[in-house]
Amino acid sequence: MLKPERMSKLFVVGPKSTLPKVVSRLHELKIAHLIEHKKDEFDLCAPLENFEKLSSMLVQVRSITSYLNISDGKVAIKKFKIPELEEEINALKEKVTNIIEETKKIGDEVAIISEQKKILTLMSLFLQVSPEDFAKSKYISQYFGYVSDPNIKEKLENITDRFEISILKLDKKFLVAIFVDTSYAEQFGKVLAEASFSDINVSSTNGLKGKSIDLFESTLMKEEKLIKRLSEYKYKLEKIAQEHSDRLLSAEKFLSIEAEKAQVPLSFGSTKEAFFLRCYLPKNDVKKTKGELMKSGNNKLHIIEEPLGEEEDIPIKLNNSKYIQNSEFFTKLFALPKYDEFDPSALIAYTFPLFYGFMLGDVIYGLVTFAVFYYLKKKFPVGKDFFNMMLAASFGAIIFGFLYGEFAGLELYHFWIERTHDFSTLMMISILAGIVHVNFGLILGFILEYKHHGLVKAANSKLSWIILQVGGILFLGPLLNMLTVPKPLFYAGVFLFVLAVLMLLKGEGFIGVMEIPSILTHIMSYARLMAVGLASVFIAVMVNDLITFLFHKGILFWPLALISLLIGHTFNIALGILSPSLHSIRLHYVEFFSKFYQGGGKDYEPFGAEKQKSLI
Amino acid sequence: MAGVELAIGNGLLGVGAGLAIGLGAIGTGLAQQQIIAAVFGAIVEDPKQFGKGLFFILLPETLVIFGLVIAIMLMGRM
Repeated sequence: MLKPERMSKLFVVGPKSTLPKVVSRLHELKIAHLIEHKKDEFDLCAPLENFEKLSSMLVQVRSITSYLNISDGKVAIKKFKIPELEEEINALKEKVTNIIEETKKIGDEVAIISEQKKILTLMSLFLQVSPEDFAKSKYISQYFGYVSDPNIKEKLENITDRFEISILKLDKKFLVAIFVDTSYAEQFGKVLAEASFSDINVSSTNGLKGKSIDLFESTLMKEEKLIKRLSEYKYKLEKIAQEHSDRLLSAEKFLSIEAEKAQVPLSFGSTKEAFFLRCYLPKNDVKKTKGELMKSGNNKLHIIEEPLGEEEDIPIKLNNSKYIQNSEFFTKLFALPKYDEFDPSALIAYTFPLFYGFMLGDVIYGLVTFAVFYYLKKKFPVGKDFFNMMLAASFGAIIFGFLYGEFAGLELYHFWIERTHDFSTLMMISILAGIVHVNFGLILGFILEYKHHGLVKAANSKLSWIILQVGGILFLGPLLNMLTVPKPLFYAGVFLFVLAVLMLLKGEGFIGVMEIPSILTHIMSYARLMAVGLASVFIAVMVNDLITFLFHKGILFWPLALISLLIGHTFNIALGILSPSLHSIRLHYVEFFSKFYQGGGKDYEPFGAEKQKSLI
Repeated sequence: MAGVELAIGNGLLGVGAGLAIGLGAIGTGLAQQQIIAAVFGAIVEDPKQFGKGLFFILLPETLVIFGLVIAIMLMGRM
């Protein structure tokens, strides 16, 4: 429970003829975390022969589904016959791409037509101007666009009178159509530029013949027709999508699994006639897996269990009971443990709700948060683990609420601690929790260090902290007038303190000595158990005072009282979810984990298993 | 006279308690201001960082909590 699942490493060799069957079996077993073979004197194994075909089919299916806008739905995986499926896909692809290409063509046409419409609308404002006037000409330069200068005509007349102009005021600008002898083009260009002429590109109406108004009407009709055709094609696509969506989705699933299987030999090694693979799997499953693989390889395989090396990056499969699995969420959020480390999930699973409950500690609030998280759990199954943890935490809050006698900030009875008055007791309990928690972490660290580096190193780098605390209390307590102890104990304290410092110097070097105050701050940090709780209580008390005040003011103020009740307590509950949970998990991550936990393990990802969705 | 001195002493303890919390809160605020800016930057890049970011925002709250502890200890001497 406190350690990740124990793993074994298998080495499998077999003739290449058995490869497809072995791969298939491995995929079904969903248990082997494959180790990629790095090319050495042995080459990489080639993928199964149908790999290319499968992956190209997969790409096609995916492109069809994306054309048809088929989103991921839940479908059962079916078995398909590959040649038949290939034919089906090709036919469907042709059908779909034809339609898509047609719609693209029509789309382009529609775009041109709408551009033409825009220009024609403007041209038709000048009765005598039509697209033909803008045909390319050697002798005449044409300008069509907006200018900001109302006196443009006069200015152009200064150059020559051999030109024609039509002007129309539109909003604050002037629409102009100008035709002039090409020899004046340069001068006209200058004047127009000064009048901030902005050109309208008429290229899309080139080649149209007739009056602008007539042309405009005919383009409108054309557009209508095209849009109708577009919607027909769209309907066709939708129909195809409806007909084929289930089949396509299950084909996609089938093909991606088959392609995965066909590709996996790339992480195996090979000789001319044989393949070999290495994989990790849980120790308990070794025997069964061996048998299954043997069967799939017609007993032609050779399977041995290899010893695990010291420095090996063994994948981590957490191994916890059902309740504790929920808190694996927090462990993973920090980092997966390494293979030899403790898996702290089991510890978080109980202390997280305990701390949360101690902080929030209110029956009504606990019930509300319980309801909220129950709802969220049903609504968002992805975050099930986290919400289960928060449900446990809410339960903790209810229990502590009964202990404190608190109901939405009202202290109905006094049973254990009166939180609003008895700060120092609350603080003592918090600090005590800190001492226990931090030292528990140190003990875990000691055990790990002892296993890996022996007793001396473990004592120097972990036990020293515990000795330091004992010495510190006996020696600093009397100096700060916080404690009275007999003289011999005081000297023993000094001795222990100095001893611990020396051990630290030996175990963790100068850095360790520099870190000495951290043990105090880490323990004091647990005062947040009191502080966060107090903040929550006092906000609740204030809200209640306000409500009582308003309530006594008279019946006119009652609606206001109701509003403050709702807003005040909702706000406080929101804080009561956020603050205690974050502070509780922080105590684990910063103060507790730093004593024994580094993390950094690699996730166990057995071949064939789907990756589970989670919040992180 | 003794009563006056006691009153002044108590007053100073009160001022001390207030300073402990107030200065602690300022320290927390200064630290959080930068962390929050950084965390929001990270969340914009990758919304998945929200949980971790929220946790980092909380780190400096230790300061004001220590202030509160000192304040409570001072109040105890009043």
